[in-house]
Amino acid sequence: MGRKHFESFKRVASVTLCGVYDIDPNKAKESGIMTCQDPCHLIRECDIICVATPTDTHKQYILEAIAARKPVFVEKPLCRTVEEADEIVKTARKYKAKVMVGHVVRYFNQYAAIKKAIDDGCVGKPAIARITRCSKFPKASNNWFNSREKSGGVILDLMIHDIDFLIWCFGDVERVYARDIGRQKIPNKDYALAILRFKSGVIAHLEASWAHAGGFRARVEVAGTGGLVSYDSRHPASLKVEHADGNAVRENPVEENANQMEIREFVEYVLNNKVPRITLHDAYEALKVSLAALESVKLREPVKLSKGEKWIE
Amino acid sequence: MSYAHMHARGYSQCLKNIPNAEFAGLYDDNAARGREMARLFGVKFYNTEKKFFAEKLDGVIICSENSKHLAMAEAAARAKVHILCEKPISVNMKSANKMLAVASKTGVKLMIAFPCRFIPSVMKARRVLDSGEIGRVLAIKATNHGSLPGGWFTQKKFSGGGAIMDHTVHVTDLLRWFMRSEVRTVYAELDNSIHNLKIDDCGTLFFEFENGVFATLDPSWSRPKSFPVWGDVTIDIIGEKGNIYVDAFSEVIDVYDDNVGRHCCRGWGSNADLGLVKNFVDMIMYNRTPFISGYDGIKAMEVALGAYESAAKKKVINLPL
Repeated sequence: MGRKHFESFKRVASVTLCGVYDIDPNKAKESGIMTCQDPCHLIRECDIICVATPTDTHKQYILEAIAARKPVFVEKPLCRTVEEADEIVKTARKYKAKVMVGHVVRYFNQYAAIKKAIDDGCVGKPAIARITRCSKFPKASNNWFNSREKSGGVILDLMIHDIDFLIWCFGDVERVYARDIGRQKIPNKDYALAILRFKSGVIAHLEASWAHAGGFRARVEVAGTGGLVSYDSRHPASLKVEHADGNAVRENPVEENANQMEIREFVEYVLNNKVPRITLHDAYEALKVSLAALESVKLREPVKLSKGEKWIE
Repeated sequence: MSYAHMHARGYSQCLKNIPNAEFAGLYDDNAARGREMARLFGVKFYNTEKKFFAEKLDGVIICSENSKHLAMAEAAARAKVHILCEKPISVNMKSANKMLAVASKTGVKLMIAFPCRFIPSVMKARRVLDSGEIGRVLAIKATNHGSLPGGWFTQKKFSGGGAIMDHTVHVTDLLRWFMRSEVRTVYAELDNSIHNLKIDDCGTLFFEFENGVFATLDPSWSRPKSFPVWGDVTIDIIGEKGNIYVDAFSEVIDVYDDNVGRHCCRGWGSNADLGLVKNFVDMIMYNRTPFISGYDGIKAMEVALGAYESAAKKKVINLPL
């Protein structure tokens, strides 16, 4: 995701890319700009920080950025544990820091359209939702996604996208029940199913997979008292380019893609105080529900979400 | 016996199309409906069970309200007539067990109508599973969506339950059949929030099999009136070496009919009902053991009953009940 965010920042007119740090210096050099051996040095040099390191290292970099009074954009999830999240939130409040988490699904036009259709009353009162996100196993430095300790597996890294989206649509979660294949200890494969019950009464079924070698597929469906809305990434694309060898690329070209949109909103948040559509509070809630799902996997029982403190912006 | 369940019409048509079966007649406790159906299919209508069973019948298909399955099955068993009973087998464990007992005591064969076992994509999926092509099964995600059936389906005293009772059993039977393993635990979230009735119309089940595979199933009546199809049966099987996706009713053509006013789909897939009824006829002719037994019917219904208990207690329920 670091590369993606790098490209997205490049497109924002008011931003100049200052430098890159990576644990692997050669990878950092691919950017073609200044690189640092020491992340603290980079944080001092830049005005805004983007963190796309393994999940279990987010906290330390976020806190360093906040302490240096630098706004920070961090790839989702916010961090690895609730304790880390509490510390980040506390520190962010203390320093009045701007922290935005890259829950990019909110920036996909098709998902925004689903939410708007629900808000417009197309399904009446929402009752039951199904949401799916399937892909092959992600590639990353040192294969860190394969480590539960670092990434939290497919629930914390992938399902959290849809958990956030559903919270955006339906509000607070009451309880969660989930299972994954973690106990099988199969390398480079993960798969999870979950049921969320929202305080509003909505029941949602979630599937997150790193076991779909056949390629990416995302789907969402919401049914209610008056109708149903759905989206499937396999819907016909507006553009398909087919090659002589039979390989084809399907695409829905857009002027600004979701990643670019979220980075632009982050910059607008920093420069103009315009609150982005994903707040730190939202990211905190999505993390809490995702970790409750992991807890349910462990306990093999439904887990009730704690009330938590009242959120003060 | 009885055309309360809409599947009765389909099975009747099948009987007419099976050369070595004779559609001898029908009984219905709703005489007006019975007479109409008898006219439609060109067979004799019997207004009492006594007259019906006085005929020399070999088999009977029971398509009454779920709550009447037991009484009709008992009547058939007394008359030594083999039974194909619409799903779910009954409305509770006690009456279902009684049905099994009466069949075994009288030596009557009891088969449960799970036509999905006769869908070619489903049968092929089972063969692919058995071939070991996708390795060990890890997890399964399934749906059996429908639209609101109305009538007695939404009255608990006749149906025994709503969407969860109606639509849990088909896929549960298929998964048991695929894996030769029983459901060990069930968890469910369910509600009656779509149709504003006093019966469950939506929800999702989460169950685990004795072989360790976990699965979810959405049996909701969540398809609105404007939806282009009645519903679906989908099964995604995640294996160690690959996945299988079944979308059993995806074989459709699109129809845009101004008289209907909305997009509709018409199926062009195989007739699974025909496979089911043929199998039942062959069971009688060749004195076979039922391909889908009363026990299969009980084990599928038990998962639905477990789901109701789970939702009431908000916890995971261990099976058998």
